[in-house]
Parts: sequence; C-alpha cells; structure tokens
Amino acid sequence: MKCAARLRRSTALIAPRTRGFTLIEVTLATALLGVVGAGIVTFLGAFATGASARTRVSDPALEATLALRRLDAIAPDLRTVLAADKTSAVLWLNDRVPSRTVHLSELGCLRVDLERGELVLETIDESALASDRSLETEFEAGDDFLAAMESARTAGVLRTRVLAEGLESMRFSAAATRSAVVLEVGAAGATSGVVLSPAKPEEPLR
Amino acid sequence: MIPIVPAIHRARAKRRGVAVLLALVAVSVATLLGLSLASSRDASVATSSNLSKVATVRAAAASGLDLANSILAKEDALAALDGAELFTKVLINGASVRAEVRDLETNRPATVESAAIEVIVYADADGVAQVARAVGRMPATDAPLRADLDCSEFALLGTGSISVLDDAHVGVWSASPLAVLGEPVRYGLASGSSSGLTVGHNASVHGCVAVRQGAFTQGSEEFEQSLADKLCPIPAPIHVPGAPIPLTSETTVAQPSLMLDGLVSHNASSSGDARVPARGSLTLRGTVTLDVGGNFFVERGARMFVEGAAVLVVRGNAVVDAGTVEVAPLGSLTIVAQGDLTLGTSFVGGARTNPSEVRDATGAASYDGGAARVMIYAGAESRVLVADGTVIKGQIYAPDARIDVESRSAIYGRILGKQVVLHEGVGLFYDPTLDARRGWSNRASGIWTETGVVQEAVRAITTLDDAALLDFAVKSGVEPDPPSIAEAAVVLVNESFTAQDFDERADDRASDRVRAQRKLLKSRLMQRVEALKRFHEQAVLTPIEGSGAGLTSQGFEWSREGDD
Repeated sequence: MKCAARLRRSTALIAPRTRGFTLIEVTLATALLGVVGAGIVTFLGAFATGASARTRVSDPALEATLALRRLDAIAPDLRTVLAADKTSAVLWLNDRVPSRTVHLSELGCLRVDLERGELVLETIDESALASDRSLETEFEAGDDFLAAMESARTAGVLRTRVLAEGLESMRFSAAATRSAVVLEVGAAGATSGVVLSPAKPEEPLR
Repeated sequence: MIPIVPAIHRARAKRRGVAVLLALVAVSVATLLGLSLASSRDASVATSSNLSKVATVRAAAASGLDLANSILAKEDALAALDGAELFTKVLINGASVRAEVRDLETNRPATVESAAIEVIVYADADGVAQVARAVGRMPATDAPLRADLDCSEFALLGTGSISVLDDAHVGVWSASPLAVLGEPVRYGLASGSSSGLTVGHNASVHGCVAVRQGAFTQGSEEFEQSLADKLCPIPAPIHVPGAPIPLTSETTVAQPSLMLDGLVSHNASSSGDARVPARGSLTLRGTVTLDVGGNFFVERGARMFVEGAAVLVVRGNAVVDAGTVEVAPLGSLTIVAQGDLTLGTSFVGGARTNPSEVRDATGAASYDGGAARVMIYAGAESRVLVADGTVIKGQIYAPDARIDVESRSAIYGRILGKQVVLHEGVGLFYDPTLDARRGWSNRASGIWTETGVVQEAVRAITTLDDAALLDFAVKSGVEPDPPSIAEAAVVLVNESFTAQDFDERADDRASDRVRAQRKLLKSRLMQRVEALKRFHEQAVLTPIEGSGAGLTSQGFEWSREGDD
C-alpha cells in the first residue's frame, strides 16, 4: 500500500515537469502541415476546375498533330503553303475550281491568336461567294496572298474554325532543310514543331 | 532504489514526438505523390494511343482504296459485285477492311451501266474505325462502240458566236451528283476558233475551258497544262447536226384549236393554236405527243405537269408566261419549237422537291433529276428568249437559232445555239451527268477513228432525228447515244420508238451485205475496245484527271471511337 501511494505521489510530482515539443519539432510540424494543407487546397482547386484540367493535352507535339489532323479533315486535298509570316500561313487548300491555278475560294489561312491561345483556320465563306460571284479571283504566282487574306478578313467574308486551343506560344517559320513551313507550338513549358506540307506537294502551274 | 518509472516515462515521451513527425512526413510524401499523379493525369497518353490506332486504321483504309482501284480496273468488276460490296473482311495491317462501290448518280450499288462511282472503304481495328471515300468515272471502255452526237458534253456551244457579258456566270451545277468529280466545264465555238467568242471582263467563267482546235492532250502533264491555259483542245471542228423537225402525224385528227386543261393521256393535234389557260392545270400522262400547228401558250399562272414521256411539237411560236412546267421523277419532256420560243418569269424542269424553291437562279437549286429530262429543240427560224428570272433545268439545242438569256434568268443544264448571248447577271450551271464521255472530247469515242480522224458518217448526220441516227448506226457500226431520255423524243413520220437500241434496229433493217459489213466494222471496233481495256488495266493506280481513269480521294472520316 505504501509503495503504491509513493508511486502515485512521485507521478504527481513528475507530471507537471513533462517535456513538450521542441521549437524545431513544432516548426517542422507546422511546415509539414503547411505542405499537406497546400496539397489539399490544390486538390480541391483541381476538382473545382473540373474535368477540363484532367482531360487537358499538355504535350505540344500532340496538340500540333491534332491540329494538323483537323486541318486534314477540313482540307483533305491540301496542295501547298503559298505564303507565311510569323503569325499566319496562307494555304492552297484544293483545286475546287478546276484550273491548276489558285483562286480565292481555294485559299485558307492558318492564323495564330495568341490572346486566346488558339490556332484557327480561316476560309472563304461559301454564302458570301454565292451572293457575290465577282469575289472569286484568280491569282498569279507573284501575288501577295497574305494581303489578299487580310483584305478578305476586313471585308468579313471569312469563316473561322479553331484547330487547337490552350496553347502558350505558336509561330510559323521556314524549315531549314526544305522549302516548307514549320508550325512551332508551345504548351506546358515544352515546344514542338510540325511541317506544314501535303503528302504530295503540288504547286500551281501559274 | 532506482526510480524506474520516470525513466520509462522519459523514453516514451521522446518517442511520441518522433512518431508524430514520422506520421506527418508520411502524409506529406503521400500528398506530394498524389499531387504529382494528379498533375500528370492528363489525356496525353490516351490521345497518343488513339492517334496511333487511328493512323494505323487510316493507313489500312487508304490501302483498301488502292486495292479497290486495282480490282475495279479488271474487266467486269462491277458485274461481279455482291450488292454494293466489292470485298469484305480483308485483313490489312491488322485491320479488317470492307469496300463498297456505289453509283454516284443514284447512290445505289454500282452496275455495269454506272458512269461514275463512289468507293467507300471501311477499316476497323481495336475498336477504332475509319472510312475512306473516293470518287471517279468508270473507264468508258465501250467508248469506241458509242457516240454522243448531240454535243451534250459542252455547257455552252455556239455554231456562230457566243457572248458572255459582264456579271454573267458559267460554271458547274453544284447540286449535280457528278460535281464532286471537279471536272472543267467546256464552252466555245464548234469551229474551235476564238473569234466570235466574247467573254466580258467581269464575267465569271472560273473552272471553264474554251474549245480550241488542237491535238488531244497526252497524259496528265499535258492535260494539266491545257487546264491551266483554260483550253480544251479538239483536233477537228465539231459537227453539230440540226434540230429534228418532226413530220405531221397522219393518224391523229387535227382539231382547229386545243384548250389544254386537266388530264391528257393520248396524242392530240391541232391545226391552230393550243393553250393551257391562265391558272389552269394540265397533266400529261403516259407517252403523249401534242402536235400544235399554230402557237402554243402556257398562260399566266398555269401549270403543266408531265408524268410520262411527252413530246410537244409546236409549228408556230411557243410562249410560257409566268407559268410552270414540271416533269415528274420518271417523266421526260421534249419540246420541238419551230417558231420562236419565249419564256418569261417561268419555271421549266424536274418537279421541285424543295417547296421553298420557286425559281432559284443563284446556282443553288436542287437537282431534282437534273437536266436530262427536259430537252428543248428550236428550229432554224427560231429565236429563243429566256427572260425575267426564268429558270430552266434542262437542255436547249438550237444550232440554227439565236438564244438570249437575260434579266436574272438561269439555265441548269446546257445551251447550244447559233448566236448565244448570256446577258448581265444570268447564270449557266452545267450538269456534268450530261457528259457520258462518248463525245468529241474523248479520243476513244466512236466519233473518232483509230487514227484520230472524225468518222465520215458523223459528218453525214444532218439532223438529230431517229432516221439520221439509225442511218449513222448502219454506216458506222457505232451506236449513237440518244439525245433525249424521252421515249418518243424524235418522231419519225408516224412512228415513235420505245426501244432506243439503235444497234439492234440497224441490224434488223439492214440487208445481208450491210449486216456483213457491220460485222466487220464491229470486229474492228472491238479490237479498239480490247486495247482500251488493256490501257486502263496498265494505268491503274495512276489516275489521269479528265481521262476517266483512276479515283480521286475525298478524304477520311471517323465512324466511331476514332475521335481524338
């Protein structure tokens, strides 16, 4: 009995003197809790953003390939790139006016919209051509195709379709090894380039 | 005595702090791992996989097209079709490939009669499917045995002069099923000369080629060069037979005049005028010939509906004023106007399926059977005037008459005249189904001999009537393509023919000596046919545009699960 009483007494004496966490331990624990908290917040943020964050394609090579695939679906008979600068490339989409020469209705313009992060394809609106047949123009080899598309844009006769979106950077440049135009696409911190060239390059006879 | 309990307590106290830290570290690591997993969980891998699969299946579909092209080059490939199926369950690069061949005009399974076809190839592998399409004309290997003498391969042909004024348009009828072939539209003078051909500076003739006298192009390079020059070279002047002039029927009793209203299902004849009264409604049923000795009027607001094969012969003038002439899907109408023909604010053509289409002169009118079912012949003394927003879906054949198309009118079909004037703002939209590739522009057709000279019998045809065509068939061994689909398109004295097989009829009527001669001619023609077949088999997979060989790809499309 005496022993037990002594033990309780000694315990009672010791209890108030129990050592707490050291400053380092508390600091470390707080930091780790901060990391965990930040992770939870990020998780919640990601879920709040929704499915789009989880279905995002972050590989610029894939983005560029998909853009070209969409272009191929719209213009399966793509002939060649007629002119290009850093932000746009004028394409000869097909020879729908059978002549082996370039007509306005056969042009398309790949254009970079950096504000929206989109790559768009502009083509001449069919209804505009049908309502005013004088719009149709035949081009010569030395004509300024970029200026022609710009004036068509100003006249409001272009139809726009988005080929790629969510891109951080895009630009057109000349390929080093051959006469082709390269589309360089940047996304998620990486950059990739694809050559804008049809399977069988064809140039207009005029 | 050593105080054991406080020592144990101290040790536990030390370990408790470490455990919390370890737990926190573990949670942190797990969180970081989770975060990194979440950040890398995008669609890249899935998309790459899909792209790879789609590329594989697409390549298989493209190979399927090549295979189909190769099979179709063989003789009687279309006759061996199982329905529309050319082949099925062919394994190409792990994909199961199936091909269908359909008639481009009817969208039904292709037959040996199909002039143009659509090949549809379905490729399927790993749940990804791709469809590849290609269109093309079937090689006209029977071309040496046939001749298209009514020049229907030309959108606009003049025997004297042609004027296409400013803002007038000549082009292809986009609603025609053969418009997808992207063939150039031919226009010009029968002489092959450029003098007499006037095209306004602001006239729209994009995609057209002008007829010029010159050697046929050889191969795709020359063809493309002539296309870029906007020329259609033909080695000799085109012979244009006159319009048929039917003789007066002797079996039908002529009335002094005819008031046509309601249903007419038998032949009728008048010595004087005939009219469809204002707001009247005339239905012609069956094979009917109306022979009008005087003038013929379709008065304001009247409607004429042709259910069968009708021939309207007008010895005087014909006037359609704000009226409607429609032809049912299985019907045909041939108008032979010996006097002037005037159409104002009217519609003539196939029965319109689009209720909102009244008179669409923009070029966007519905096909509704095309231009083949309406044929308008005009005689030497005629003048044809198409005015005030009139729309005709048909053919005008008037090699000795002047034709004016004016005031926002449109012709969906073709025009052949002596002096043709397309005034400001009018449109001529050619229907490519009229070109059977058996005419002047095809060096293999029965119009040309093996040495590239026009057959003598061709130049001997004076008019496009049954007697002249039958005579041509006897002399040349070549079967002429009838100029109209009407059963009794051309009336020969009192006889009309439901069978259009000139070959059989020529053999029936010929003497033994002529039959023997025809047999010899036929055997020579068959040699040309065999040579042509060999050429097409060798030329397979190397399409030559404008030659009728090869297929033109129309691209690919997803069918399911291929969307990336």
